[in-house]
Amino acid sequence: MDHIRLYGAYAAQSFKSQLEYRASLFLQMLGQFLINIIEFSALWTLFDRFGNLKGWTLEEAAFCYGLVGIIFALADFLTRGLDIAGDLIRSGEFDRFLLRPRSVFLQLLGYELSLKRMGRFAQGAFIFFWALSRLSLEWSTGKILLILYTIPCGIAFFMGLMTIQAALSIKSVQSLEFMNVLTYGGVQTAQYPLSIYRNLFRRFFTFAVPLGCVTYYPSLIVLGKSDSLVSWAGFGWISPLAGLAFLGLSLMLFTRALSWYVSTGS
Amino acid sequence: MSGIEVRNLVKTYRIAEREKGLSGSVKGLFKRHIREIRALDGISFSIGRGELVGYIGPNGAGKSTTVKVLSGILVPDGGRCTVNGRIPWESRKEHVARIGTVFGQKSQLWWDLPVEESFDLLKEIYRLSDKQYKETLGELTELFELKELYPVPVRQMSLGQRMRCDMAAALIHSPDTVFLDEPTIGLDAVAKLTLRELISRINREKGVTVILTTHDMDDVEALCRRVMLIGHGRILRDGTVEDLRRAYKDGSEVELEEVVRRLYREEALR
Amino acid sequence: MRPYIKFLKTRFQSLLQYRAAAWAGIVCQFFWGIIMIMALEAFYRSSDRTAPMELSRAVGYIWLGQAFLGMLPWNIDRDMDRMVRDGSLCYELLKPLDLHFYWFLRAFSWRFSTMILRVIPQLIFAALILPMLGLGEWALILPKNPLVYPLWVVSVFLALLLSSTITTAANITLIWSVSGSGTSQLLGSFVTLFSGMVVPLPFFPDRWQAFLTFQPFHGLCDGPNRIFTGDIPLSRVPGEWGLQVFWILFFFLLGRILTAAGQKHLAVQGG
Repeated sequence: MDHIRLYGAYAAQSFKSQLEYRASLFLQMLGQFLINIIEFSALWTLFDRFGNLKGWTLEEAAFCYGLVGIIFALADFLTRGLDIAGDLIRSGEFDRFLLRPRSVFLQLLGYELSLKRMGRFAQGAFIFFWALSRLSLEWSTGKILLILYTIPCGIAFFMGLMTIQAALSIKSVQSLEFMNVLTYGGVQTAQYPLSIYRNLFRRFFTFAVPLGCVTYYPSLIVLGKSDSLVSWAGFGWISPLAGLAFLGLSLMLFTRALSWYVSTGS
Repeated sequence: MSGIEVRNLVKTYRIAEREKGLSGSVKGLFKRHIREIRALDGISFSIGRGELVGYIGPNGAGKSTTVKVLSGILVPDGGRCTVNGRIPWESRKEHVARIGTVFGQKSQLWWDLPVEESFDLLKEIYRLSDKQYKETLGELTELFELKELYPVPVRQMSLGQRMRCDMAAALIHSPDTVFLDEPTIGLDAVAKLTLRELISRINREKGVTVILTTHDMDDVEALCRRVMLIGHGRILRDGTVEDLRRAYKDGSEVELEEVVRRLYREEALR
Repeated sequence: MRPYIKFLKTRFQSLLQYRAAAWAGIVCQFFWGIIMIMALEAFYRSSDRTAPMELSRAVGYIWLGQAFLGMLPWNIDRDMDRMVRDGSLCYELLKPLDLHFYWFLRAFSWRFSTMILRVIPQLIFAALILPMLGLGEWALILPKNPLVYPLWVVSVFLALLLSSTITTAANITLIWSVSGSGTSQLLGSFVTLFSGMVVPLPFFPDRWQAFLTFQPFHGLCDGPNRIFTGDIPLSRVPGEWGLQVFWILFFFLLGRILTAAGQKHLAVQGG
């Protein structure tokens, strides 16, 4: 409870800070929205050219695309502090977190809740609901709940990636763009149905880095589709939990990196 | 055990070096040389509760490493250290809840917000009760004359004003020990005098132990009875300001700054 | 010319400092390229509609795009942005150089150095390592006709010049704009889309093709890539060069006009 209270206080401060620059914030949000819409045109172009993708229609693919967009935007919004941990270490601001009697992880999370990411959220939501309006899906309470619970699990997954990035940048004092392979590259991957990739790749994003578990498999259930890699049809109901487990493991890594930092003082 | 006890602290850093020039940059893509630097080479001292000690020495002498160890954010390679009975790095959160830090070069305040908001957030961070917070803040507001600064965003403050706020922020949780790292850097003469007066009053009236690292010998002369001079990771001199002067026989007329410079050169040659 | 060369050299060196960033960028690009190729492959297999180019050419196109990504004018110079904001741009005005040409060289060295760092590893990966890993169908196939190489190199060089003139013109607009990141973002998305980086331009609907060929960003990536893969026959290469040269001149002149106007603006505003 105490932690939530502190996080709330941080969030409030962060919003107030950003609202000091309203005009620029609005422009950036608009910019992000437009860029992501332009990016979506790639998917549209290819479907326009080829008609379908391994039996997926544009609307079905857009469902996945929108879902991962929503999840990533929210995660991005929440984890700005983890993303720039390397910069904070170099500027010495990171030491300030250690000088306060609270969890360093929580302080990093609270550092900035980046409102401009909401532009991307708007794009994800726009495409997601566009896809929903074009698809005639059979909804049930269970499916709605599945979508509602896979979103926080997905956020946990991306937060886990960012946590690993923060942990590694604590160890190397560099900003680690290569983690972008997994974050932005992951988003890129998840924008197409996982079934189009080679098996090795699909296994990697299911079992090692469980991105598919939080976006693709739950989508299969809602869209009434199946996948050859995991033949059990119910997998998508429980797979989002992998996102939570992934965050848990990342936090362990983060704690270790922190104690390393304190002992070497780079 | 009261006060600060430091015995034989040792700390070595490993630093990656890069060669100069274009070819060096290319080589740096693949491998780097590691060099070891001994930042603390067996440092010992003790400071009583409520003392105000000046900690001086040139850049890279080990001042900030010492402060980092004492404040619990760096674990030494060897040696012992307690601050009011606590081993800083063993229980970081408990320890840092009882100390305050000010870095002259960096502010801990939230840049875009009125300073009052920063204080409110610190209240949450240090888990202060409403009563405790109101009391301390009231005291500090009066002492540092902060009332008229409350609605001003930190980015619009003068350096002197910001420093006063930063000092108040470091004291809001009533720490027993305070580390001040070049608090007067960049301040104009008037602001310096004000700040020194404030430091001295905190030390006297609240009984807070103060360790002051600085390059400004006027700070030292105005504030500290005791001075520790550090160089190459060792304590070179530890005594009163007069002791330091006396170490230079003909130095009664010489500025303290000059005394320190000569002492330092002498030690470096040894 | 001496100060310009010295400048080129220092700039290049400072870029090399970011070694982790360089490797990271390269790995990211391999990854992105492979995803894109797997997606294209899946599309080709899902449909019997005729594609605008053979898969192997599309694959080659993707890899060349990745290799020369660093050259695209997808962002503005952060230093310029900073200089405008903190007012140090005035000092640039004091330099005894032709300001526009100096800024153009600045942009050229920036684009050239980010490009060259990535080209070699990318091409080695795409043309040599992928076949060795048994992924020959994902590899960049080198042209059999030796004549293609010199013609392609000329076209790449023109693309580099084009990119630098666009960058220069975009940088100069910072003098008037409020938010540099806004300009950068919009420029970036248009360039990546219309240069063929996101999807090779021939995949866009056929009715757009004439427009896509004549818009300026075609010469940045789409043109050179298709000369290399053979999608544009050698007989049409001079025409491609002509288009590139036209847009180079266009943006160079635009840059000069903007610089002159900007200098006036700065003189009035005092930076």
